[in-house]
Amino acid sequence: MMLRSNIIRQCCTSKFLATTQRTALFIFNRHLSSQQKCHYDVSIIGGGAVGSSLAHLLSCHVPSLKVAVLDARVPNSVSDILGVSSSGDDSGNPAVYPSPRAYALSPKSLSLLGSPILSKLEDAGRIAYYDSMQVWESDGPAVLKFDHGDVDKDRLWQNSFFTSDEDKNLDHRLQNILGAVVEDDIMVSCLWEKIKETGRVDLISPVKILAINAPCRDEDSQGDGHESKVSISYKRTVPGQDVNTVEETISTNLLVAADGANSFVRKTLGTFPTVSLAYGRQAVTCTVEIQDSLKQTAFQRFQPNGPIALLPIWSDDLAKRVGASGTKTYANIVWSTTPEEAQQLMKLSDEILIQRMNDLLQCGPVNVPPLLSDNFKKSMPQPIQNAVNGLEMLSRSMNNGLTMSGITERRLGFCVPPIITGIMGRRFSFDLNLMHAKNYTCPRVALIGDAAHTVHPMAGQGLNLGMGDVECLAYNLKQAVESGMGLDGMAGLQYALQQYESSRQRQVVATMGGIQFLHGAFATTFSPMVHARSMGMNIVNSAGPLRKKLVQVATGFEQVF
Amino acid sequence: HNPLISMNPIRMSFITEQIGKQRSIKLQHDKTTFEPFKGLKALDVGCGGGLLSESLARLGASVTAVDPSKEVAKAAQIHSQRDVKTSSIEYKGGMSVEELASQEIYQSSFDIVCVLEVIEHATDPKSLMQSAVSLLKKPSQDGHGPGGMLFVSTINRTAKSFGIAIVGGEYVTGKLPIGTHDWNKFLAPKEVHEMVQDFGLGEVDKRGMILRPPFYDLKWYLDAQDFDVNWIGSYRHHQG
Repeated sequence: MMLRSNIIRQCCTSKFLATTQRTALFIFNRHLSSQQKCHYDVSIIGGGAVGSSLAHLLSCHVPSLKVAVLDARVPNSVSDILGVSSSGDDSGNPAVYPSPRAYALSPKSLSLLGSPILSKLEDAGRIAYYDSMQVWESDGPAVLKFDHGDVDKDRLWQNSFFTSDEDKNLDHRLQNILGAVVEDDIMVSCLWEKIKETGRVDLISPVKILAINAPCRDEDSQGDGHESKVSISYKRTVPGQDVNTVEETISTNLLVAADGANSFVRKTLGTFPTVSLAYGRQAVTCTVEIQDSLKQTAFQRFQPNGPIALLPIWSDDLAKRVGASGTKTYANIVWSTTPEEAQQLMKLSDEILIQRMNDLLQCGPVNVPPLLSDNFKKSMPQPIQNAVNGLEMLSRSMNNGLTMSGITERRLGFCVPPIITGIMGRRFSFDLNLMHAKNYTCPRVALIGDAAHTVHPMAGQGLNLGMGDVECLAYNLKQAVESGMGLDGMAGLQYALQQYESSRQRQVVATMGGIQFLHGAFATTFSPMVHARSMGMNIVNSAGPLRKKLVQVATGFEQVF
Repeated sequence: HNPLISMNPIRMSFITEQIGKQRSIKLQHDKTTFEPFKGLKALDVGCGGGLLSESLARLGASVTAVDPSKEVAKAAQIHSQRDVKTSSIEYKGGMSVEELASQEIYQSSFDIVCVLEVIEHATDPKSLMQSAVSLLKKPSQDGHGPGGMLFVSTINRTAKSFGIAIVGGEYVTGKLPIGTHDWNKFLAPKEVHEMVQDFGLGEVDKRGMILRPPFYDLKWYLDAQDFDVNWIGSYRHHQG
């Protein structure tokens, strides 16, 4: 392309011939676009967890749509990851410990993967279900215990668009859990394998996107825009003896951007202004070896700088099989804190880091701090000091009382997490940002997943929000096909995209609000606020309906409102 | 922005459901197409911009579309030419449905006849209905052919519909130009039923079409009990 346009430029050197040059390039470009290989209904740029899940749902439920997925890399095959050769024996090099790149999936998100993929993950031991969760704070006695009993089993599928009658195995699998942890690489590979089986989706990779032409960029194509579709041109590496790259162009009715927080599509098109709020935090994540098993429980302790979470990963059987010694198993740590502390954590020796993590996690309920600091109290007149002391004692006893009653009533006291005994592999750190695109769609383009929104990982909602996007978009595209409105004309597609955008923006903004509230509530060290927060946690723990509603929303079985 | 666009999905879902039930068609997504109306002939009375006609065509029906305005039908035809799935719609502009019914070739020939959002604008609703019914296929003597189905959707004549459709739709929100509707021409399901009964049809089913809050989302849904404002009904010849 470069060479040819240089030639054209050399032929048209004078200004007078500039128009000829433009015309020549124009003709050349038209020629290139007329070499279009294929036209698709939906093209998804980004074949990660969210992009592949959309392709998977569409191939299962709206097979009449022609779908393409483009990605910069080719994921490893499932058998490569599991180290199983085609003859079935363990001749490969499977991982000996889990990767920290993993997701916490709600039961709703797991249901979108479907039973066949879940079975595969279970057989390989690469999925860790958890049925209870313990959340506690750094300076208070409150302990929040969630368990699968809080999930309203009758309302499991009320808000689902895609409950397949054939997938009856889903029900009994997902009924008694709060979620599961799955590594990114195997989840994506399983999805790609399932998609390939259907034969209706073209997986185009590895590619480097060169240009995207969409009607939303072009002011001239207002009105129906029926003729202007989206065209995507890319360079693709063709496997073979000699590494060979070809340039191709495809056209599509709908372009879906699923290429992550730094979405190339979103940035290139320039029609998606975003709002960002840097939390001023970084998260450090790594895989750890623990004494004993987590027994399907997830732990999270809130600190003023951010929570530290200890999550199950891989089944216990798999951990033993690959050589974790004795009773040890593996777990995943996600520690959110200030950038300074995060960088410190990255550099600490293994022994000291393990010590720090155990210090935090092994420490249980403590008393709330005094309402006012001693110095401040001493500066006040005696009657007021007495009143404040009295108030403090009242608050403390109420709080401790609430905690105790919560324990006796639900018989769920503080459970000490297993001790961490080793760090396996590398530590990773990443910035935590809140980002929200002001609009998720523009003519013929939709953003899904992190390309549209990112949140703090403290509530384990990041990927789950993306999966919610996937479900909603797939449902609206199915409606468009079933109503005969189709994706080729603008009217039908616009309606579908508008429905997607308005539904999802509501849910995402509400979830973000909730997480922001938690972030603020746990970040404060202002004593009266700490007392209030502790009491709040106790109330949530004891008040069944409130706690259950929280769980219903977090597990994805109920809309926020 | 055409307000009918947002109502189209539920109108189509009602039609698809009714036709599916009548002809025992399993509404499944095929590997390559979703065409439950394949092999059926459909008539869109008062097609306007062709929104309904194109939807019927994409679901596999062979569609004839009639509209009293020549220009409107011509514009719809140009639009439909752009997609191969809709390019074979037969548009008949500058023709009334009575005129179409007088042509022998069309009499009793359609499996689906749609009179959607039209009857409340007609100068002679009874004559329109009579012509529409005459274009509907009659059930075959041997009982194998189920006969055609007529779909009518309009707005009910109630205080609520005055408040919502006229005051709300035309004056408050301005979604519809003032004077679009004449409340006196609105028809209740019972009245339409009586009208078609005279021509030998019975009512099969009906639903109210309701706008779900938040209203600016323009999400409609079908309701089995509330016919106070918009509603849609299906009618067919009695068997035998």
